Amino acid sequence: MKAEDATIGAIRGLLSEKLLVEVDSPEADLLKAGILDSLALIQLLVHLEERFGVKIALDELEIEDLRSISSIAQMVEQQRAIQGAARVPRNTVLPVNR
Amino acid sequence: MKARLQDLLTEQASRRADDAAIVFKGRATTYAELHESSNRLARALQDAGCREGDRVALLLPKSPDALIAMFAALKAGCMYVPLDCSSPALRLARILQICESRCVLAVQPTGGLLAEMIALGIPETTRLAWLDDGMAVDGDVAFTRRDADSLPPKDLDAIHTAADGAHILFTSGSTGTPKGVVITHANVLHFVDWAVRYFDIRPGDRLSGHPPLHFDLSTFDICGTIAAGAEIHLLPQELSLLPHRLAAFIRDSALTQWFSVPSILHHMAKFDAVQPHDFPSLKRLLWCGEKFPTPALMYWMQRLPRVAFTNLYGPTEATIASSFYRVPACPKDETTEVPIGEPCEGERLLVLDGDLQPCPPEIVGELYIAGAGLSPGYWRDEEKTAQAFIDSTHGRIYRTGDLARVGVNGMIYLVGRADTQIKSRGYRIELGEIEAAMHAIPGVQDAAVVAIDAGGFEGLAICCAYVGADLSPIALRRKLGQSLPHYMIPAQWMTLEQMPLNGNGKVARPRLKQMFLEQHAAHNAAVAPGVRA
Repeated sequence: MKAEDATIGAIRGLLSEKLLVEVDSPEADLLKAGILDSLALIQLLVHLEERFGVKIALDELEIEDLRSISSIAQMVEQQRAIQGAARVPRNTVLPVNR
Repeated sequence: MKARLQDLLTEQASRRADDAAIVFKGRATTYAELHESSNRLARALQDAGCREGDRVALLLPKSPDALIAMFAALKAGCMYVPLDCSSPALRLARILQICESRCVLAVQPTGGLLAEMIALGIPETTRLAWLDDGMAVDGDVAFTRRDADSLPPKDLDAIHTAADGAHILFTSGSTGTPKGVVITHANVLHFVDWAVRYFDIRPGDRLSGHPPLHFDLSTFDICGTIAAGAEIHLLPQELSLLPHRLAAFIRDSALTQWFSVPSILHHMAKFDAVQPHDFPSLKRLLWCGEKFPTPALMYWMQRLPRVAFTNLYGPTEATIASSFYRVPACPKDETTEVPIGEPCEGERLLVLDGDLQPCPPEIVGELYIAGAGLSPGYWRDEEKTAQAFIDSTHGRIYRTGDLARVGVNGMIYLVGRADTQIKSRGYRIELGEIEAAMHAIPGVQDAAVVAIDAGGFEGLAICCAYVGADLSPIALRRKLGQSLPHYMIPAQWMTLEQMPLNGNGKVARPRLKQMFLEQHAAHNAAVAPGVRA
């Protein structure tokens, strides 16, 4: 599944406005270059939750969800689909991108 | 005690050839494989012209191959120089120039970075070699993995002595140039010999390999494992982002020793990644590199009452660690101060005044280290070596730059820094190196870098104030990213008409810190109240 351009663009915007990080392309590896460290990740998750109105649980994320802007966008869209489709009971474990 | 680090491996390869030495991504590398592969690679290095004392740079992600390469370099009589594969090419090319590398070992995933380094200029004497099939680059390729694998696996003649350099670790330099700390075989062997006995590391133990290979803590993980005939379980670097995955790694690998840095341990505590009585195999947890906040330590000790918790302390220049403190019981309250403890065997820690006289108990002075761990000095830099390593009435001592006091209980407590070196997320950073990089950017009229304690789990935050109206923080971050590793790039920014100065005309750093603390507080109040990590 490929994420929508609008989602990718919005995440790119969050990274540059909120985290002051400019990324060359949506596929660029955020982890290899150390761009996404643990502090930046927590800030990004807060901003993603605000911007997209989804709940993202750190303990359900996989490393590959965070590889690039593109994979983050996919993860956000999946969460949005799951959380929008049903009233999700609290503490339910949601499958993430797998 | 052994004479050379590789002798540890040779002995284990004969005693327990088929036991696992390294476990990575579900695959075990046995002692025999590690020994024989490194013998083959050592021959390939010698065939490529590597001679005694030559520097072999490792542009390799943490992996069994990287460990094979370390031992191969030593067996070939060379020193290895582990490079940070997430650093920009400019900095890495500079390091190769400083150490005048004879060979650089790479793999396809780092090939792009190598190509960039070559384009920027690496020493002409440097030959390239691949630990896999490699790729086309503009340089003199000496061999690939296939060539090395065709060479005989039998032992090589011993070349080094204990006093020879085993590796060079590059750390941040205050004037903008990374400093290479030369570490000898004897430096490492002294620490490892003590640590294996003190921590009672045995065959069958499973040790974490968490820090990156250019951190000297990894030397303990690797050489401690091999000295004891144990297993090292290498963690993919990226796992540090996800506290629950780290916990799952400790659990699933049934680790008996977890050695990490406080920022990671704090991260795991903040996100409650540890269950009560988690990790039933774990015997000991060690940390080093910076101060471990007591509330996070309490979190860990409450959940893991059967685990021994030990704080290690020591700069790279004194090899892995120079002092230790086993926390006797979970601290009663969050303000309890955890000391760095007492010297490891063969080391001395001295708290001295400006005349290099010992400070009385409870009086703050500068911390100096003497003993078996002391590096011979910085690579081909007599001036810096003479400034930091001093011949005194106490013998040869290393000035750490840390401020400390000796408690009435005889334990040593860290108080702060005498200069502008900081620790952030386990990384040692000279703020001066960041300022030098800022000043090199066209359009920057003035710049000052300070660190503030923002109260987060990440330790100190790096802040940069600058004068230069045409430049945005995002553009400056991008520029800095070309010369500095990501962990050195300031997180907070402030553009000023003029730098605040003190009465002496110097940058008023306390005032700047205060300005950044206020900016930080205002930012926190505005963004996501209640969602603070």
